Amino acid sequence: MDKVKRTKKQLTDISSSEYKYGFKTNIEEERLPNGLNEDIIKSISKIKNEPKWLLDFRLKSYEKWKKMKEPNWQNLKYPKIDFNEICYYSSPKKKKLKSLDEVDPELLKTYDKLGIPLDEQKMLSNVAVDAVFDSVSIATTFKDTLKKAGVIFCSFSEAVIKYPDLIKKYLGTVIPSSDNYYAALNSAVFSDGSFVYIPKNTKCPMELSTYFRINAANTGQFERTLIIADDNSYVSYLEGCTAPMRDENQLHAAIVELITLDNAEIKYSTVQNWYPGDKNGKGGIYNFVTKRGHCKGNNSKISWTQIETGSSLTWKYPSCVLKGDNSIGEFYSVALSNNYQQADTGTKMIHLGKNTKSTIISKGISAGHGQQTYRGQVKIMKNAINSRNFSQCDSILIGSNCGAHTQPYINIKNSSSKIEHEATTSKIGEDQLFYCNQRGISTENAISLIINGFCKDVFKKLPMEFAIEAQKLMEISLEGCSVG
Amino acid sequence: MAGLKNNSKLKDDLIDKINNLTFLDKEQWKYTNFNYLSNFNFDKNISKNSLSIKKNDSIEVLSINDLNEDSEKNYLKFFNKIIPQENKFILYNTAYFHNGYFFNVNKNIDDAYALIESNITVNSKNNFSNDRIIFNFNKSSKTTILFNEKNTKQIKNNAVYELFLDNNSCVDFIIFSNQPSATKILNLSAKINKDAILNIYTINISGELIKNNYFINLDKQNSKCNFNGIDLLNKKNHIDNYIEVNHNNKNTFSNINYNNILDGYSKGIFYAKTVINENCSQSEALQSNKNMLLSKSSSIHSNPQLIINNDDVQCAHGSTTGEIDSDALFYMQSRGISENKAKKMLINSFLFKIINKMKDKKILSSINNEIDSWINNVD
Amino acid sequence: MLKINKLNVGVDDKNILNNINLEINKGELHVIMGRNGTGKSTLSNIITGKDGYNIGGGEVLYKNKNLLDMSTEDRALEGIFMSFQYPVSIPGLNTMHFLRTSVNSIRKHQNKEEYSSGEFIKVFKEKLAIVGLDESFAKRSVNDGFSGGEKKRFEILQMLLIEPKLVILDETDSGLDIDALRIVANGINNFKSKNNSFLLITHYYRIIEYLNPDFVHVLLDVKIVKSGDQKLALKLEENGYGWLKK
Repeated sequence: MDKVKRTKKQLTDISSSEYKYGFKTNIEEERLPNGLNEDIIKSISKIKNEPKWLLDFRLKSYEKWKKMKEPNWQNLKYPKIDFNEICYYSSPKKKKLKSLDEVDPELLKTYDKLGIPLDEQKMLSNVAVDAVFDSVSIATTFKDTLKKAGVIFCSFSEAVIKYPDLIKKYLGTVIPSSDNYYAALNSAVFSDGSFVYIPKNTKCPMELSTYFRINAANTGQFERTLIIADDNSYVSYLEGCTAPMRDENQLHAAIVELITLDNAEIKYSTVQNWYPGDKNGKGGIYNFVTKRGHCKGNNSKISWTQIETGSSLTWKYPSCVLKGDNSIGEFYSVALSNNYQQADTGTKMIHLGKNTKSTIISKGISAGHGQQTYRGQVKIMKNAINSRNFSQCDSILIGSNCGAHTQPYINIKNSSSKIEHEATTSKIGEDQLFYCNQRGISTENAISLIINGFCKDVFKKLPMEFAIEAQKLMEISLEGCSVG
Repeated sequence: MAGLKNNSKLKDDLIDKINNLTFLDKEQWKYTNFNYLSNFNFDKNISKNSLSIKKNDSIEVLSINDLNEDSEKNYLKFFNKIIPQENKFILYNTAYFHNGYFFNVNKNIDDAYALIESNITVNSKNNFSNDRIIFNFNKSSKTTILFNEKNTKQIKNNAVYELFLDNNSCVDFIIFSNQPSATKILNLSAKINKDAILNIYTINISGELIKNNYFINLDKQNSKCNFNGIDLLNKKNHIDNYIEVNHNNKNTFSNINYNNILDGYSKGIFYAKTVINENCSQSEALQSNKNMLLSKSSSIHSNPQLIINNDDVQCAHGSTTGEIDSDALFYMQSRGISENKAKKMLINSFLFKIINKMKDKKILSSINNEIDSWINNVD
Repeated sequence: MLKINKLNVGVDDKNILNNINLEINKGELHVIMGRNGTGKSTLSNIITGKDGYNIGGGEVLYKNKNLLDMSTEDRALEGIFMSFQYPVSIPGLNTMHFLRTSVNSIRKHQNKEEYSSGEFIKVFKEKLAIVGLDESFAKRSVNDGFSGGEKKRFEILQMLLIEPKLVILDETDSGLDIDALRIVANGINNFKSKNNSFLLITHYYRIIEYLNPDFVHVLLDVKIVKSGDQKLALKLEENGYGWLKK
């Protein structure tokens, strides 16, 4: 009698759960032909009625992109992407919506399925939503409440028209278009995204939220988010991502720029659950994202929290540049790779100002044939006197075909700084499973309990509703994986 | 009898290869100026024999020039077999080495000992000397090898060591370097067989530019490597250590402990990469790197990497960097120890705990004296 | 309740238990004493279903069912509980969450209504007081950073919540000071009834004094060499094991 083998069999018998959000919506859409060239970029700009300075920004970025090479240092394996086979713009045909009544009912149904409380009656949870459906921001709710507080929360395209001075002042200041290959690509073709401005001395009255969803076939999603927190302000921003099931791989290359001025704080949380591909690694989203925050002001704070369970490829390093004295950067991450998913993710903390502090907590889970790489950099520059960093990167492996890799880079040029980095790699202990089994808890439940415990330090950083969603997501993503 | 270095065919092949070599593992050379180093000459014959070797009878040492037909055959079984070939300095060494030795440690002995001292007398300026030493540790042997490199001259050395540990052998391999003006490139490969243990101790006290690459292969079950290193740097010293450990079998164990003290304008690099390959279950890999910065202008780069491809393993790494522990300093002062004395005691213990497992206590104590005299120069 | 017939157990090529016979009826408390390394913990691992042993022969029946065919969790669901000698820590896993999952899994199996969160907190607090732990336990992780005494009390707490039919106490008394020992023993006595059974594994007489066992067995060199009542335990306490050897 070999009990473990039996449990293993039971586990593999449980059919691995299908992607819960796998459906697509049949709506008429307006789309540009596939391919990338100056004309396509001009067309995007024209459809969106953009001013000339923005078109110039796009074209310059495109010129830079053409000269750049795809990065190859990451631990990800995938076939070469043909950037001329991608459609860079598609949008539902109806436009200029003033209220929810004008939104295509099909779309609303989609949101219902996604569980987005777009419907006003459902808005008890006090969440304002800016939904990006493929390439155009459809409707934004709760605008009035926000308006009273002076908070600007709108689609990026709207902001370009309404608040050109703010956009001009900050666009590309945190992530210049030449920063990297995918940032340059995004800067050339970005379709839409969110814009947030929190005025001085303002605490944003509610959590702001965006749901991203990739719908049309062969469309890359290139959204761009810019959040500015002025002096003494605070905002918590949630980003959720889903995409329908498709056989071919879809590209996503987003940019998120955050700026905090004196005493301001931005808390940015992501739950990324894009289609991870099927059990055999077919399909799924390629997620190449550049996210960076600039703690420009003194005593300011930027906190990234991410739960990454989706996408077949993840390439993502939400970072903080700690320029203001006493500024704080945080990065809390849970990344899970099951089946044939690959994730190369981590953060950069660049300490420039005095007494700056950063904390990194990263939890990687690999199962099936999944590959996980934590790649992080902590850089303490010469003038960052008394700066501190604490990093903890733990990995857990479930099954013997997966991999977990830890690649920290620590560069210190200041003797008054204190840096601690810890990392562990382990498997789920047989002792732990036996203990749980002995208390009547099934192996599958025990794995889920242990993994949730493993991730607790990160989950508790999420807003409550998100934390529950994240836990459920982990359970779904882990279903059907076996130990040993 | 012609030694390998006179084998013109081999040399021509390699020169072609060197000239055609464009790729270098960039990660290994991220913090050290490769182009600066490659502008020197590696092909000049500087000094015929600059190594002095003392050893006991348990080890047979052959100079490459003295190989007969049989011993050359044996030598070729080991020569250039495990050292990576994509590194230009290794290829230079293979093509031009002059100080070539073959150390053969007898089986079933437990007292093998060799002391190797370099005494380069010529100021080589732009020319590198190329040492090439192969160590073959036969079954169930116990050995201590000590490189005692003490030199104030501006020497330039490009060394390659190839270590083969047969079943159940145990080696303390100590490289002690106190060469403030030295430019040194070392490439060391080790292949460790069943139940064998390699304990490396590397102690670098100063050095103008030192680039060490270690490639450790745990090839058979139950092989072990304990890698212990300390660097004491000041002025404009630059020491770059790259340590790669490959777990290629089940039940293998590696433990890297590296502590650095940096003063003046010095720059230290710790780059460790431990790879646990598939099917290497029940393996354990540990890495620890601790750094103490004593001056404002010193800097450290620490990259402790773990590449894990198996779930039945235990791995952990840690890296800390900071000043001297002020709590400990205060505690000692409260017990009547002067600040200066307390500081020196703390630095010494920070370093000594890394190397104190060394089996030969005489060597340990003389190394400790050298460390102390370096510490005494700290303000 | 539990019946062990002619059980032989080995690990690799080594014989660990030889021809073990043991019958525990409802309402009985049995004690197994013996030196270190005589296979006492092996017996509890066999009953709970831990991997890594070869059953050379014999049978283990629980409620007249073949126990050896059941998985660990099924045995737990059927009412077998072990208080571990070295409970494993699970960092990050909240104790309350763990306990409720465990207790509700078992209640569900017994067709009892699962506890709601509110009900559970009530029961939890009640039992917590019995084992002398404070409410901050609800916020800690399972066995993580617990002292030796806390771990053992936490095991007894679980026993009280799960209400098992057969309890195995694997050296539950070791490492406890006098006060903690009394608390643990009270917890056991509090729960002991005509409807459940206990198997206590220990080195020491002191816990036996508190528990008044019905039977005491001595395990020496892979066999049960002598069985008796509480007096046997006292004799072992006074004279050691030497006199049992030929």
